This record gives sequence, structure tokens and C-alpha cells, in this order.
Amino acid sequence: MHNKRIPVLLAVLLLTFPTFAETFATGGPHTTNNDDSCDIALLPAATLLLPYFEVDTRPGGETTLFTITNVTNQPQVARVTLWTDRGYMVVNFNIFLTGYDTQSINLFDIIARGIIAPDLGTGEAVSERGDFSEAGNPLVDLSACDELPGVIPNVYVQRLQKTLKEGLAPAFGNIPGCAGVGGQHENAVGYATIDVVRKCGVLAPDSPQYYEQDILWENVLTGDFQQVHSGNNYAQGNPLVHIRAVPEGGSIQQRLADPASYTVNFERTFYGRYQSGETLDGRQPLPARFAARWISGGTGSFKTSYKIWREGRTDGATPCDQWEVRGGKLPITEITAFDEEENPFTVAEPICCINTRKELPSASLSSVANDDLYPPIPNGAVAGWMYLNLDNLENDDIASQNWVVTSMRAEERFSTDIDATALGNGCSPEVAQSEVYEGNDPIGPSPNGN
Amino acid sequence: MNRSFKLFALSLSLALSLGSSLFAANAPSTIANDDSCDVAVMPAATLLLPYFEVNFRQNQSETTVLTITNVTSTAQVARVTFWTDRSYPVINFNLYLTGYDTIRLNLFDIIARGIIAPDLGTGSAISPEGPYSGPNPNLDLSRCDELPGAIPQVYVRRMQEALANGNVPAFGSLPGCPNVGGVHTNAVGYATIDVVRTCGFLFPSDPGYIENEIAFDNALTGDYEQVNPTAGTEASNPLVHLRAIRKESNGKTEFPRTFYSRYQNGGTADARQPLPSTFAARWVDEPSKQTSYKIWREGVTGANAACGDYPANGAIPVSEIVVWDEEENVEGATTSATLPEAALVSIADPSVFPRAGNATAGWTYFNLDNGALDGKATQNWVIVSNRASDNDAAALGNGCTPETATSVVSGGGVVIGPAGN
Repeated sequence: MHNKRIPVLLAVLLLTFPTFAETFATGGPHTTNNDDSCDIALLPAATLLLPYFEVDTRPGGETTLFTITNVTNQPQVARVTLWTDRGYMVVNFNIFLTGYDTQSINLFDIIARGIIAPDLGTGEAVSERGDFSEAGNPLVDLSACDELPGVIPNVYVQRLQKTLKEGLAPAFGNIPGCAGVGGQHENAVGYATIDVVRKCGVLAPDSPQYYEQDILWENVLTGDFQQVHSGNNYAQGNPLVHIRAVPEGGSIQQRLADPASYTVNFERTFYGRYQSGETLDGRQPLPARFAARWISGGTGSFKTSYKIWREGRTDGATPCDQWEVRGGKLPITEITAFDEEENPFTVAEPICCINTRKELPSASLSSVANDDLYPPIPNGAVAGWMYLNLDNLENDDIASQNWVVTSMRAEERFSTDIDATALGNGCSPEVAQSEVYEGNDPIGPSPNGN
Repeated sequence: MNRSFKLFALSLSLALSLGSSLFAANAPSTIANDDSCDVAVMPAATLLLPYFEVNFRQNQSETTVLTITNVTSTAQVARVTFWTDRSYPVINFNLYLTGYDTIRLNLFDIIARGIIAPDLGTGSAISPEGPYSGPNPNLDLSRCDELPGAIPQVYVRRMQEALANGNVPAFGSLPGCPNVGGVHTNAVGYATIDVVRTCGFLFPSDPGYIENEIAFDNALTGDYEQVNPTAGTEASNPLVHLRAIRKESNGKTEFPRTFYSRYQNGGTADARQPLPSTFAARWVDEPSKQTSYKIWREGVTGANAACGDYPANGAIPVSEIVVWDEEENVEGATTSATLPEAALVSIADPSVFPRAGNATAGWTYFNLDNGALDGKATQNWVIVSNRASDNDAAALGNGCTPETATSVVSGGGVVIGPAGN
């Protein structure tokens, strides 16, 4: 690409420098480049987030499927990590993707049956390679990828189920048991991350070494998920959250050896919590505030729930007794419901001696009809939109990260999932309670300058 | 893969003097909101419904339902325009949205019954106003007090004829115009929703619309549902959110072209983000589930188009389509397909997706540029539709990415993949 317009102010400077990028010192926008902003968009990414999954370990019930595609001609390794709803890392595994490969994963197969990728697994030695797919990727070490496991030993499957359903991670080998790492559910519940990595290793994103040894910065993956209940004939799908690495490219050695060329300009990143606030992963951060539609009741018996992912306060060293507080009870700044006639409804203000603070865990599915969490609608309105300021109230000038998917069902036969609208990007500062809650500012999109 | 184009080196001090959101080197160049060419689900100045389909002859059948929300405290006027699948502007109307207002539009109500917003319309004189909703000093509400809730029957019939048969009947002193849309069983087309500053009557394709009526507030969000109660199907998706981005001081944008450039002889005064041209989209072709794609494309007609110009929008060339199976094999590829401006096309349609294999799933590479090789990629949008769900396809570059030539799969030199940074 070539610069099409060069601000006069910089013209003299630019005469002495090569100019490949479409950036504009004083323009609007400042950049027209790809992979050069804090905006979460549906473009090939280095990390995909499945904000919420739910799997009935009995056949014929609820399950979550996801599909990932490598849209480049070079092979890639994707590290899939399943986390509890409090952000406890339960299991991870690698998927080898040849160039232009697509891999579908039914989480029922993994969590209930211990099968990752029927029938032969996804290793380099067993994966097909198309005519236009290259054999190698100079950034990827495939030495341990030849035959990736297609089947998980039963002891791991039992551990997986116990952790995702009961929040109890049993002791395993020299790893001590840990209670309270997840909530208790009838089904297996949690969230998943999928990262491009440079080898078929075993490190998880909750390890600081992951960012120095395993992670890569290639924006090459795209994917979606479906939530299916075959018994009830429900099916709904949505793209995974596409989180790009910015700047893209390079090996860890290249990035560390040439920091001037790989400076990450985000103040914090998606995985910043696992690096003591460092930004080595280069992943875009997620926003804190959302606008999401709701319909509840009416002639179609509508039901709206929100699938919400939240950034916890946990990391790989979190003690067992802290998971509930740091991952399961994350405070919320504000939830305000508007009906279709612009009337706002709020949850009650704190009353003396009663804690009315609203909390949600790291991954949840919550109904707008739940008056303990969402504002009751006393005027009988059946539709409107919800303002969700999901910052965790730490008052640290950085808004905590979140994602919201609006999940609707109607007439016991229709169902849809769609992303809520973000009211700022992940680089927007935290926003205090609005004027509706006796704050100062009106509800609305974040200002353009962060 | 290292596709990074390194940014030019400026001193940090210089960059800081130019603005806090601009970085000297490396990336991202900006962390500001509304400051890039990336199309995201964030409040926008224009919402695009890429494809609608309405059985206007039968209630409880195929219809498209739109919901639009003003997420700001100040009032907004939204100009809704329905276009045929060859981009003939059929009808427009204004919606008055008070601060935090939400309006739902069932297109069946409009196209079949001529009712825009039951029951009283949407005017500033009759819309309720919430306790935190305020006025917008940039709006001229002089013609917004009682916006029509009902459309006269003569307009309704004209709309139906245009959207279903592609034929615009003569009306008063206005001559008829044939072949401005395809012939369909149902009413088919696309819709745009712009923030505007008056309750006027101009279409986006009319001279004067951009100069006099369009506004630049990124205040709207919205989604659609494609519903067929009789068939028991429903799918929904966000509308395409196009943000207006320009420098406040002089109103100029740095986009090389914008969403509405075609109506300004290439001008960019609307400042709307342009849409991309290359996409990756999943497909499934099984007895119980068959993928279709809803595709919107930028046509070739501009301002003041004549009747005879619209048929060209019915068969716009497609640069390349490659269908991959899940084993990375090419199921089929074409560089000779054509598509109209708005279409719903099945993966089983061999004229668009030639497939020699027997695979039942994979992904499709779309290079929907019109092949004019003029240095600018034309704009497009793709939605993967599986009846039970609609998902946006992943774009492989943003709308500022130059056109992409034919890939090695079809005998060209380009390796299929994301656009360079």
C-alpha cells in the first residue's frame, strides 16, 4: 500500500523515510491500515474467544460446537483452552491446521466422551494437506505436532466434568485438588480461548511463560459457534470474538530483539492479567460497556438472556480459596434498562446494611427476567435495550474487559445469538455510574479520543 | 506469517505533540474510538440491512424485522431508504428517535400494509420522551412533528411492484421505469438507515443529500430478524454499522472512498467507512442444513442514474469465488460469476459456486471486487445464512484495502489470505 494523502505538517519528514502505512497525523481517521486499531471487528485474528459454553454431558441435550478456519496457506497450531466460569484453566490441547484448514469441535465430544477430533486427531502426520497448502511455516515448530491426541484419557474426562459442573478440581498427580474454582451447574459451563501458537506445547495462557515461549502474533484464524439443543430443537450461532494481535507478526525472538519495531501501543491487552500487566501478547483488549436489546414476554413468549464474559482478577497463582471472590463475584458498575419509550429502570440503590451490589462471574448466561440482577420493569413493557457498564469498579483508570452476546428465544422454537453493541473500544477508559444512578454523565458512546 | 508493513519512524516527541492517540511507530497507530477503517458493531451513523425479503401477500410468512436504537441522550432523525436489488431507491421515510429511543419496524407492515410505525407514527410531537432524553441542537425538527404512520395505497402498490417485479409504475409526472430490480416471488431489496439533520425527502442518491441532509453522529445501533412463522424459521444478526469518521475542524475524512462515494462522483463528504471486498465464509451442504449467503454489493450507478442504467446492477461481475472443503481441497472456483446488488444465493447454486467434489462442508473465499481494476476495491458485505442463524462472514481486509487480483487457484498470482497490514 502507498500513502495517498500525506499531511503537510509531516511532508518534509516523510521525504526522508519510507512510507508504507496509511496513517494520518492529524486526520480522521488516523489510520486506514488493517490490524491497526483497538476496535474489535470480524477480521482474521490471533485469538478467538468463545465467551460462554454449556454442555449437557448426557446425549441429546445442550451442547456448544465451534468451528475454526485457518485462512492462510501456511500451517498453524491453535491452542484451545477450556476455563471454568470463574476463569480456572481446566484443560488445553493443540489443533494442527494445515493451510486453509477448517476444524469443527463439538464440546460434547470432548467433555462427555473425551474425543477431541474424530477420528484420527489433528496431527501433522494425519491431517490432509490441500494442493494450495504449504508444508511448513517458518514461525512454527511442528516437531511435537505429528500425532496430536484424538482421545483424552478417562481420568482427565472425569476431572473435566467435575471441574466444569461442580467447580471442584480433583487432585491429580502432584497437582493438589482445588474447590470453588467454578460454580455449580447442572451442565458443564465455562468459556474457551483459541490462540495461535508456535508449537504443540502444554503451557496454558495462565502461565507467564506462555507469552515468552508459545504464543504467536499471526492474525490468521476465524471462527464461529453454535449452541444447539437437539432435544428442544434449538440452534443459534454467532461468530467467536475475534481478537487481533497488534502489531502482527514476528517470532518471540524477533520481537524481543527488536522491541522498537514491535512496540504494543495498547495500555493493557486481553491477556495482560497473566503477565503482571505486561502486553507481550499484543492482543486487543475488550470493551467494558455495551448496549443490548431485550424482549421479555409478549405474544411470542420472548425470553432474552445475555451470555457475558468478564475479565476476572485471577491468574495462574490464585489460591484455591480466592476463586469465588476473584472469578465468581465480579462487581458491576451499572445496569440500566430502557423500555421502548425511553423510560429508564435501575436496580435499587444501596440501602443501609444491605448489599445490593450486582455481581457476575467470568462466564455466565443470565436472563433479563432475573430481578436479582437486572432491573425490574414495573410498567409492563416487554422490550427495550439494556445499558451494561461491566467495569469491575476497581477505580484504576482502566476499564476491565467484557463481552456480551444477546441470546433470544421465542415461542419455544425460535432462537438467536447476536453480539451486543460495544459503546467504546477496549482502550476506552473506565466510565463511572451515569446520571441515571446519580452520577454526572449521560449514558452514551465513549468519546472519540481515548 | 510476517505481513507487517512497518510504520515510518517519527520521533515520539513529535507524535505526542500531534495528539495523544497517535503513536510514533509500531501499532496500533491509534487507540481512539471511531478512528479506523475497521467495521465493528459500535454505534454508527449509517446502518445497512444488506438483504431483506418480505412475502407481502401473506401474513405470518417470510418477513424482515428491523430494530433501531438511539444510544445517545439527544434526539436523532433516521432516514430509512428501501432500495431494489439493483439499487433503485424505491421509498424513504424519516424516523424521529428521542434520546435512548428504540423503534421496531416489521417490513411486512410497511410493504404489505403501508404502515410505518404503528399506531401513531414517530413524529417529534407524538413520540414519548424519557426523563433523560434531551434535544439535539443540530437538528432542524420543523418537519418532524407528525411523521406519517401510514403510506398512501398508491405508494404501497408502487413499492410492491418495484421490489417484487423490478418495475416502477409511472406516477403523476414521474415516468415509469422498468427493470430496476429483479423479478421475485417476494419483495426483495436492501435498506439503509442514515442519521440526518432534517425530516426531508431526499434519497442518498439525490444531489444535495450529502451536502444538506446527512449528519455525522455515530449514535445508532440496530439488528434485524428474518422470520417465517409458518415455516418456523428465524435468524438474526446485527445490521452493518458504518461509522462516520472525519476531522472535526474541517469535516474532511482520510478514507480514500466512502460508503456513499458513488453518489458523489467519488467524493467522500459523507465520511462513512467503506466496506471490504474479500471475505471468508463457512458453508454446510447437508440434507438437514444448507448454507445460503446474503450478499450486498456496491453497484455501478451513481447520482442521477437513468432508468436504463439499473439493469447493470443486476449482474455485477465477481472477481473470484473459491470453495474449499474441510480437507483443504478446492471444491470449485470461478472468475466469471455475477451477482446483483442484493442477493440470497445458495451454496448449491452452480452458477455461483461450481463444485466438483462431494464435500458437505468447508469455507468459501469471496473476492467480490467487480474486477474493474481501477485501484479501488468495490464494497461488499456477506452474511452466512443457515436459516436458524445468520452470521457475518469474516472480512479479510478492511474497506480501505486495495483491490485484490486473482489468486493462484484461478491462475493468478495472489495467495489467498488476509490482506497485508
